[in-house]
Amino acid sequence: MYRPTVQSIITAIETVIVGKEEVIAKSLTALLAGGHVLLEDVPGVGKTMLVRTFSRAIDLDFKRIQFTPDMLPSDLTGISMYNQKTREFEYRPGPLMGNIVLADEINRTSPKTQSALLEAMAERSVTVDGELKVLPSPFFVMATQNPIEHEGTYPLPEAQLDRFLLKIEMGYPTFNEEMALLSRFEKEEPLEALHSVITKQEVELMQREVRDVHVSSAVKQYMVRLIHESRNDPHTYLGGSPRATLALMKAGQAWAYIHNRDFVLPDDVKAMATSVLGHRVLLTAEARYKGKTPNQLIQDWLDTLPVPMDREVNEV
Amino acid sequence: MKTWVTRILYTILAAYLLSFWVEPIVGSTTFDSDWPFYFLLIVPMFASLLPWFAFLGLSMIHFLTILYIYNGSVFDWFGLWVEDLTRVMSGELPNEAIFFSAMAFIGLLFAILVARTYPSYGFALGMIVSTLGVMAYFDTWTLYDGEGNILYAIVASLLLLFVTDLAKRPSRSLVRFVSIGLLLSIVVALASASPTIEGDWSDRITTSFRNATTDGEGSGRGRVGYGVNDEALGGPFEQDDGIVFIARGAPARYWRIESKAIYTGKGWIGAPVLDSNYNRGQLVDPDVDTTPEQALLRFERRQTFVPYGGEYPQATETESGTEFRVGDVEQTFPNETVTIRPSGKIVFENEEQVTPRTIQLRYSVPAFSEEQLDLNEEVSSLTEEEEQVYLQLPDSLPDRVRDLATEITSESETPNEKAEAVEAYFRNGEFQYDTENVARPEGETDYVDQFLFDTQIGYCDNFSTSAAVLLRANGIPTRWVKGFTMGDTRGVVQGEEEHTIRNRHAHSWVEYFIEGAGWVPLEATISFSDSNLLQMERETDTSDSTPATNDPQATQDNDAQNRPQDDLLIDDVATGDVQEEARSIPVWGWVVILFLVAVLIWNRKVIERQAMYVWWMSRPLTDLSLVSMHKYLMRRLRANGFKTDGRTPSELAKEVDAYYETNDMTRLTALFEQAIYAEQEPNSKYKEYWKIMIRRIMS
Repeated sequence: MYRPTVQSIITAIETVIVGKEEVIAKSLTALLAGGHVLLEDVPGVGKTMLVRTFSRAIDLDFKRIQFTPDMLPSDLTGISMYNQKTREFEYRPGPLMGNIVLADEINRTSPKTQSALLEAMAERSVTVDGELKVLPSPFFVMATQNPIEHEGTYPLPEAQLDRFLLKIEMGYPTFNEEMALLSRFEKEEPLEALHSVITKQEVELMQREVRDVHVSSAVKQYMVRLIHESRNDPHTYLGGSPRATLALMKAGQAWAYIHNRDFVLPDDVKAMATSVLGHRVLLTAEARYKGKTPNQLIQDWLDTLPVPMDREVNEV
Repeated sequence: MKTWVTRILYTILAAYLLSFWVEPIVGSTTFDSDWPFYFLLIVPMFASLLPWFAFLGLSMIHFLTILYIYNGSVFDWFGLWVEDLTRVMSGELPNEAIFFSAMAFIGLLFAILVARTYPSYGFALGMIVSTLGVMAYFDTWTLYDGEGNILYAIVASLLLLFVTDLAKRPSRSLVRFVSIGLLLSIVVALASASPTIEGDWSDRITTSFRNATTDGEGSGRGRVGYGVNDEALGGPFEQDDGIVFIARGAPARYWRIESKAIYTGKGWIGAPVLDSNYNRGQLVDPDVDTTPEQALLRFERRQTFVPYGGEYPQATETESGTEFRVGDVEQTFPNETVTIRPSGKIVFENEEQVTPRTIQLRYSVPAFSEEQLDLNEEVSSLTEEEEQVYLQLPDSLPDRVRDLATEITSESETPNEKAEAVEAYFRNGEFQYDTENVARPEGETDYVDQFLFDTQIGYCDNFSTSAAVLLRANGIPTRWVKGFTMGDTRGVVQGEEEHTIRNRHAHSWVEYFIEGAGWVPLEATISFSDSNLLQMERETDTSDSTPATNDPQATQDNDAQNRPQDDLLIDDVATGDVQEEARSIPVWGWVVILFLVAVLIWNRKVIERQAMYVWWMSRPLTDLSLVSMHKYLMRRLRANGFKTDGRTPSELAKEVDAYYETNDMTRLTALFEQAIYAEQEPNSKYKEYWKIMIRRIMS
């Protein structure tokens, strides 16, 4: 099913992470699509572990930022320090200057720092002391967020959330998975034994190849219709933005790519829809009161929206 | 609708259809009464509505009762059955017992089928097809005429299908009520419109002969057929295809009914009672060779005459098996007196003077030798009174007729030569055969005179009457004979030829008397050959061919004749070939139509599938046609209960393949995705998988 290289990455990661194949695949999708991931779940389900494993398997420069309320933007970007030897200001890179950046508990820091991170994610560069510093490539942020603790947190504004290509929910392992987890970690530390299976250059190549994945007009139509549906549904207060449409396409391309296909299927759109739209759709108070969740709504749209099977585009 | 109501309706309709079997089956046997068969066939069907033990009990009782009524005993039926079977094996008609058990078995079989399979399209369709098949078979091969009943059978068939449908799927009823109503009205409308659109599809068949017998040629437009009154001949007549009787066992030959002796100037009237041997079952001199022949005649309806193929019948056998002799009227039916009139007409002296439906005839066919025909002796066998009658000519007969008679025969010596000269005279090219533009003699005009000198257009009556008058004027005792020609050849049934004689085969010819030979028939009507009328013994023929058989020489002669454009066609026997009767096509047509309708209803899917195959397979696979094909497939899947909305092709493929336990849909979908989502050239394998899927879905 998967592209062989992708399969090898997944296999490598799975030596550490038990189960979670979909989460791994989606994370890879985000990486290859050049987007970023927001991992959302309760503590202890292995978010950090996943990201660490990820970076190890792909031989990328891993950086970790543990967000705290007192963190400043410069703590991320790095600062220029005066070097007394050279009598010059020297740039000390901050933790953002890595390939894979784990932004742990992103909602714990102030909006000021958050926006600095998100700006960097979008621009792929930071400005330190008026100097533009280009971030390394590939640049991939995996931010985690704890959805249940609200005390002392700064929830990410919707506009910021839009910058994450995918929001992935980890979920608890199943019974068998958890049993396997126990035996795997009983004696040894699998992460230590993990060797990278792919180089940075290969990742960059794959990222380029993803852009070549063909998106037919039928599938584009399907995506646009889906986004329109999210805007027109009476339960939504805010639907998908055009950026969401773009995100859907990129995610679809990457998803198709990792599944060893050079064209996007409606199935890819369906597979990506919740992850792409879940954090971009805002429900009305009434819908929330009725107990609807964005994921449910998205599923409803997918279940009813006819899949275009034509080559030509039919205007609605 | 309640289940039991549909069930009863279903049974009633099935029973009604089965009742159509009775008439043709019984009609083809010697049984006289239909009702026991209705009883045998239909009662078990209704008994099948009861619980099985009651059904079984009732069927047994019913079966035994019937046996008792017909055999007088319940127990010896098996013996009768065996006896009958041996009889059938030896090629005879089945008798009662085997027939009853067969009928009872069929009745029981259908009852069990209707009870066990209710409601079943298969049974309903089988019932319909077999009923129509039986009707069509008997219509084609026997006297049974299914054309009156076929419409009822078809309407009942459609209703049966409808009731089956109703029982099978009780929902969506309004649409079906409307559609069945529509279908029924179309059938009925078609049926009632057809005879007028195509004149040949007549239902006149059953009614016309009655007209013909009463119509005579009195006034206005006559209708072809055998009639009693010949006092005023002439005028055009209408064609009539009504069946009079079917003759089995005899080769194609003319059927004589009677002769008339007195020419009035307008027509013919019967002769007074005469007395010679030639009025007592003898047509020819004892020296003339005769060949015995027998034929089974089955009348469409009881008639007032008995046609015969040669001399007067010597013996006839009727449905009750009693033999009697007609020739010298020595024995009669037990209940009926059969007489032979001086005219040769055989009459059953019962109240209505009607014949049984079936008559086994035995008669001898004379074959004259050339010497006998060439005899030229004084007439001595006839009484003086007879001679006078057979030479009678009205005083009003114009002289020019007598002059013409002398002129025609001026070079002939013997009566036979004179007859041949008269026959040849009509074939000189001046005379024309026609049934339409035929004059009727007005006022003092003589019928023969008008034809011979003025019109020269006419049909058999004109020719035969004129020939008779011309021969009489030459002093040859002559009489005018009425009957039928050989009819249409139906084919060979159980090794015996069958001919259908219809109203339009009514004919007249003459018989002239040669001392030492007897009454020799003469076909005067042009475009008719007398090869079937006059049997000639050919002494030069070494192969000793029996004259009674269809002489190939004679038929060739017949072939050479110029053919009549109209009625009394004899080309059916021209080649001696057995030809199937064209008349029955309407019934077969109905069967085919109904069958097609049923097939359409039943196998709508199959037909649609085939049409789709043909349609799509014949065109190149473009992305456009591929999309259409896939959409059609989606439609069919939806019709089969698959949900397609919101499903991606591959999701649907998984569901479909899981349902049908294959992976064809997945393969098909992969090709579809390639074409539509990868926007590549459509793969021609798509068609193959598509066909497989369509077959699977629509089977």
